Amino acid sequence: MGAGQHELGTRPSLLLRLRDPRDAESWREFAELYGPLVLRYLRRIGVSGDDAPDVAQEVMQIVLKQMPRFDYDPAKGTFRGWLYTVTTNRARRFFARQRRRPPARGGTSNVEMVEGLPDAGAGMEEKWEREWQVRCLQAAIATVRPRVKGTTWRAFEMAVLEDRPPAEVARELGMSIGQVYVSKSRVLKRLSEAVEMVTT
Amino acid sequence: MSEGSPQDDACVPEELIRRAACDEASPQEADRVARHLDECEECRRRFDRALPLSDQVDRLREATTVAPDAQEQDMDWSGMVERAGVTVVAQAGRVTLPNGLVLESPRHEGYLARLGSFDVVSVVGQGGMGIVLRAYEEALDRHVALKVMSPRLLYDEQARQRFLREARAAARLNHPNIVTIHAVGEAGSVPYIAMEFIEGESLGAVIDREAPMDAGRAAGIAREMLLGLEHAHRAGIVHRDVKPGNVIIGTEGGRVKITDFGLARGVADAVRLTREGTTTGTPWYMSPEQARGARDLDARSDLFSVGVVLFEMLTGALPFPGESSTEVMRKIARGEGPDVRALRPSVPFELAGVVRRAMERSPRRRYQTATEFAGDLERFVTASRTTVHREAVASQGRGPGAEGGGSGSSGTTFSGRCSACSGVIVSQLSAAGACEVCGEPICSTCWQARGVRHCAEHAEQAKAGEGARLAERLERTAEESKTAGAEAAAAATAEGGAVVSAREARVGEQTFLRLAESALEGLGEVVDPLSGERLSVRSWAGLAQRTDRAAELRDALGPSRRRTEATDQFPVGAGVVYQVRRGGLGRRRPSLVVEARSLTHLERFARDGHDDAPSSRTELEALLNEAARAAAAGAEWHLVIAYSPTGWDAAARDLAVAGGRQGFRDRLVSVVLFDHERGGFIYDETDEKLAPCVREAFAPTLDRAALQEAQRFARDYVELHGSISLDHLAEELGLSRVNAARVLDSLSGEGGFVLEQMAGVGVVLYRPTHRPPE
Repeated sequence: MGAGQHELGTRPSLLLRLRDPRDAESWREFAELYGPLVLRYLRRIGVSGDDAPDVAQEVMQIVLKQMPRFDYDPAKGTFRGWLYTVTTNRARRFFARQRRRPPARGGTSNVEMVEGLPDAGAGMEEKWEREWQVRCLQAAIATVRPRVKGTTWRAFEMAVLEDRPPAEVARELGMSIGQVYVSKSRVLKRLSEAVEMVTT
Repeated sequence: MSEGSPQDDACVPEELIRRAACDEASPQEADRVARHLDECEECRRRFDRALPLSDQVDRLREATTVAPDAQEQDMDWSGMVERAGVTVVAQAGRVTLPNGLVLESPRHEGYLARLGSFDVVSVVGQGGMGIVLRAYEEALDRHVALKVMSPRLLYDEQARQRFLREARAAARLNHPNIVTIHAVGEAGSVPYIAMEFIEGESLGAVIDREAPMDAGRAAGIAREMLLGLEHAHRAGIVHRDVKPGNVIIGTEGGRVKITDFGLARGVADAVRLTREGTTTGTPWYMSPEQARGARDLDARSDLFSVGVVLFEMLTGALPFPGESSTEVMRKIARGEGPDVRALRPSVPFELAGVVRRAMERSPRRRYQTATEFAGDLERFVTASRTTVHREAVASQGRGPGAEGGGSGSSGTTFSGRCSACSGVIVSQLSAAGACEVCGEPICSTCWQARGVRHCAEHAEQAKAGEGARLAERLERTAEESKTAGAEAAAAATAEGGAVVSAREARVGEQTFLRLAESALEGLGEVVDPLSGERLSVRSWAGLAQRTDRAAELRDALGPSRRRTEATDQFPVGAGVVYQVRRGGLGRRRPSLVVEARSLTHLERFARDGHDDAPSSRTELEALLNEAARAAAAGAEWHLVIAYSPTGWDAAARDLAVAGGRQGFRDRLVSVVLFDHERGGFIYDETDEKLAPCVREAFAPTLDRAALQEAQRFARDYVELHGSISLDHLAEELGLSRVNAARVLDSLSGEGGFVLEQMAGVGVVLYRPTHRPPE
């Protein structure tokens, strides 16, 4: 575990690594992390199943293109916020196109169109937050799990995810209650670091 | 420690619990906490509360239970990375660079790839001709810039031989203003050129950031380019592709260096294989003879290109913009470029004359040698010393063009008196300009408030000069208009109806895109060089309109093209792209938002994925008309126009142009500014930024006589200079900008009105006079 910890701790965070366009591995990691997030979010806000992959692909193309120029200054907005903006704009555009399809532009239909666009306020951001967190945690779990001793992970799983009483967990795994707690903190600490690594 | 019943004094400190929960305690401490937790339930709760992510346990559960469905698994996210070309792909002992070039795997850790004896460090840039790598040459312990031929050209033996031959010729050159070629060779089957590696940026990037540039700096850069060219010309080498992208400004010392001598020919050859008579190279900087497809170019063709670069540095605009390379080349062939001073009146008169001479249509009338051209520039490099000095003070940095080789005494003396009003200039900082004839300083009062551009001695001479120039120009136009028609027709025939694909043509993307554009003018079936899809003319155009795609095209076409686009599509503002978007402030009512975006904004919008906006002036006008009709019919519309004005004081004018045309002016009810610095809209009409806009927007309309007088002035001015800026008109006649805009608008059918670059954003609200009941 010591080695794993070291490895994780010294590696620059994902978004920083992307400054190097040659770092193919990081780019892949990036696309595989955020691609599914975008896709899932799009479906959640009502982009139909057939269209969602297309829209998601558009989003990712923009993101991949713009990423090397992305400004990491948190004062200017977070990466999460930006990705949300891009995704939402693309979704809007998709909805707008769908509406536009039957009548051509012009006349009073514009009024209806403007009114009909989904609004950013209505729960979209919450949905995004949720998908974002879940996705980042998934990525964190994938990173951390292989780097933690089996019983430590298992203790975390039982005590935290399955919410079983610490005494029961301790008994089953043959460790002390205190060790169950230590396991929880080990794993959660690594997870929170790993989340940090992929979001900054 | 008593069993089961925790006592405060027996508990470990709260602070230690917290550290242990965050896994920050030492092993001994952790052990102590663990033993304590075995017994103390209260501390377990404390521990739990302090755990990282304790607020996200539900999400964690979800994260472990949600499995990707079939659709998610289907997506090829990592494949997308490769298609986006942001990385290199390493596999099986080979490394594939973004342009498809395959190199050997690196020998050492930390390198990208290997090419012969070079260890490739990174990809520096990519053009139509090839890719530029930064590499390390171990034997000589030096870094080099490796130019490697584009894989598309590799298969063409003739182009290859030409590439090597030209490169070997250029390798003989040795001059401080030319990028030195160390070696030319082939590694495996890949031809390469190893050049000195210069820490710096391309002139294109500098222009993008700084243009319009200070006259002294622009002249200094052009002069250094010419010194390098003179050396090459003496050696019998014509560059053929002088453009900002081929000029590097060193980070240290600001030394100007030209690169890629003669290489343009290699590409030209490759293209000729498929289409005889096609001209290649960046069209914006081509000389007229080059645009006509002449093959035996001489030094004077390069000098014309330097003239164009100088024009661009001084104005930030291209003299020959156009929607397509055909249009650009047609304009070049006709010599229809505007005068530098029409776009930027503050450029010294004589310097504008130098540019004009360099860009004469006929090579005979141009400078005949680079030395001659450089000589004429020399005094501007020094004459602008006051400006240089001011900049140096402001930035605490090195004065631009500082190494311009101190010539003449005017470079070191400073009179301390204004040459126009004889007033004492208190410090050098208060000298705002210099006489355009002799370069003597002019104080800021004269320069800014009174608009004086000449010293007392040369004021008369300058007036006389303008008259003579007008006469000369008219004479020349008459002579040239005869041949221009025939040439344009020939150029159109040569370019029209091309059917090409990047692969067939074996050219780089950049060249291909230009060809594709030409093809679109004719019949055109076009293959997208990035996706390999066959595109109909319609879908190609549609593709280009999508912002992400447009950004891609812009990138591929280089920075100059960006400015061209802006000017072309929207004659009311250089550097501005108007877009129309539906939406509105507050969204309470249906509304139209018309936005004029600076390119910076456009880029930001592209970044954020906005692209549903119509992007042409026609569409913008259609929307304005639509709004006008709706308003006239009493509909509950209000029109919000956002735009990018030159400065806060000019904030209302462009809207007046747009709104006035559609008869919205009477309905102007308020002016609102969007202030990026403060991050919001300003409504308070007494606000220092908004007040001038309000004054402008509500300025009384010109009466008929005044309008006619202004129109006359503008016409005369345009006759003389080719175009007039709105600022200049307003300044000359003391008009409000809105009125100046109205004058120009009333003349707009006659064409040729150019505004200077804009920045910032403002909003004006229009709405119907008769308000419908709420």
